Amino acid sequence: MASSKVMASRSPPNPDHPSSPSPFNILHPDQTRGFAASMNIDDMLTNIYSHPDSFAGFMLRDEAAGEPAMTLEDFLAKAGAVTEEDVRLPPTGGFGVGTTMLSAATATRVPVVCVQNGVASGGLGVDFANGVVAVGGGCGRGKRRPAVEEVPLDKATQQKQRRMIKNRESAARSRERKQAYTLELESLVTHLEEENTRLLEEEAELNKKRYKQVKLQIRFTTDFQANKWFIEKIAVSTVKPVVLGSVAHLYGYLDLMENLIPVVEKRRPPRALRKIHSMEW
Amino acid sequence: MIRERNPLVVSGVVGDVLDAFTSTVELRVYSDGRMLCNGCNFRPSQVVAQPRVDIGGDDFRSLYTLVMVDADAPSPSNPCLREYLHWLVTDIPGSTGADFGTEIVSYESPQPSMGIHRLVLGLFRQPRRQMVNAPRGRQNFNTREFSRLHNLGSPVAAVYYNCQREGGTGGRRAFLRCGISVVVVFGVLSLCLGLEEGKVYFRELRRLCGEERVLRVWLGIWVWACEGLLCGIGALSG
Repeated sequence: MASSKVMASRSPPNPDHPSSPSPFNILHPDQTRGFAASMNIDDMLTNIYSHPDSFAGFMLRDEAAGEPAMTLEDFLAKAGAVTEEDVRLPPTGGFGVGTTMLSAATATRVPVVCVQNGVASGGLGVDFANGVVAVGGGCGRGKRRPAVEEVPLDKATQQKQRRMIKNRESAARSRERKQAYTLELESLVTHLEEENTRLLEEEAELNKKRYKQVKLQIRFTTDFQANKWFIEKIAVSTVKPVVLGSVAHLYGYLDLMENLIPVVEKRRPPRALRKIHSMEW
Repeated sequence: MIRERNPLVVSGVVGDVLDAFTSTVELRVYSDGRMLCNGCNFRPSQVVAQPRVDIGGDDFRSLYTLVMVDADAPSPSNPCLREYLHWLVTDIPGSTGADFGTEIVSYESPQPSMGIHRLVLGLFRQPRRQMVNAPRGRQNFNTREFSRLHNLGSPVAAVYYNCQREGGTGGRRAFLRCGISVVVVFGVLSLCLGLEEGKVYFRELRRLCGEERVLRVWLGIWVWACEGLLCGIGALSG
């Protein structure tokens, strides 16, 4: 359980942290001097659980509670509070607790606190060369914490920071815009498709009614000189090419006179494929 | 996670400009022959003229008020003049268009200079025929306040579209491009004027664009190139 997790996490090699007697240095600033190298796991655990303010305690409790999102925020709140004060410690410790990893970068004066939540997409700590620490947290729900800033050392970085924030905001706005547009298009698509099917059904029904009502009078007249024949059709309602086609089809079954030229009926073009139910794809 | 599917909410129109509402009346807006849908893009040239607005509803007796505001004036990152009133029409009878109403504030075509602006058209139902005083100015108009003042309640329909400047939204990149083109043009000019004057001009220009570091770098590159060219030509011509 927790102890085994802690054990397992300590065993992965941390070859780049030779100087730390215990990885807890960073996490228990007030207990730094109290730690002995020969402390065993149980003592460690009691220390963790007795310290409500410790990072590790937090994380372990979180794992037990099973709500990484909420407590990640709290953790970051703590992290924000803690890193400002005790950040001057040499960033050499690495410590993993189960799926959450707390590692400190070694690059700069100010350690970068990176929290990677194995479950969610994680939070990140952004570090500036001049020591301004902005910890942005991302939880499973995608919420972002406001930046935690120190007094910037020069105007250029201040400007850079300002620009970055503006860019972030405009990127967010752009995403919102895009999302709104796609939502609108999707709703249009469903609406229009539904209207389309409804209208086609209505049309088919109306046509059916019309075929039943049409009274055809087919007259044949032949022009012997020209050797042509004419078909006249008088319909009660309006004429459609389809109706004519069916009439010609009917004609095919009638007896043809010898000097009559048969009608060649063109096949009606097949109905083009239609897209329906686009939203269910 | 409940995903919001209303484009008006996602884009922030409900929230910044209007309160949450359910759409009860149909509102169709046509501009430049195209029908407006939420979030579509229009260029200022396409919305120069007053759009054609068709309102649904059942009877001529119910009257509606149409408000058109820019939710991102003067720029979305700095909306200090939110909202900018573009158009206000009252006493529109149901199932007719905006032409049949009383125009309180005449239509002003949107001309965004910075960023992409959301232009919102909101439709309110009037309790009765009422005289509405024209607001003092178009800037800092508050639709909520206006609705509350005239007992219009929540909107019955709304639609919005995006509008940005003709040539793109500008910003630092555009500034850069302008700067570079200016330098090139004047470089050519200075070549005609005389090489010494050109060099002096470039030195002045470089001094002037101080703060903007990236811009300075870019301009610096161009200036060095031009200067080098000038020196080269000077050396060649002797």
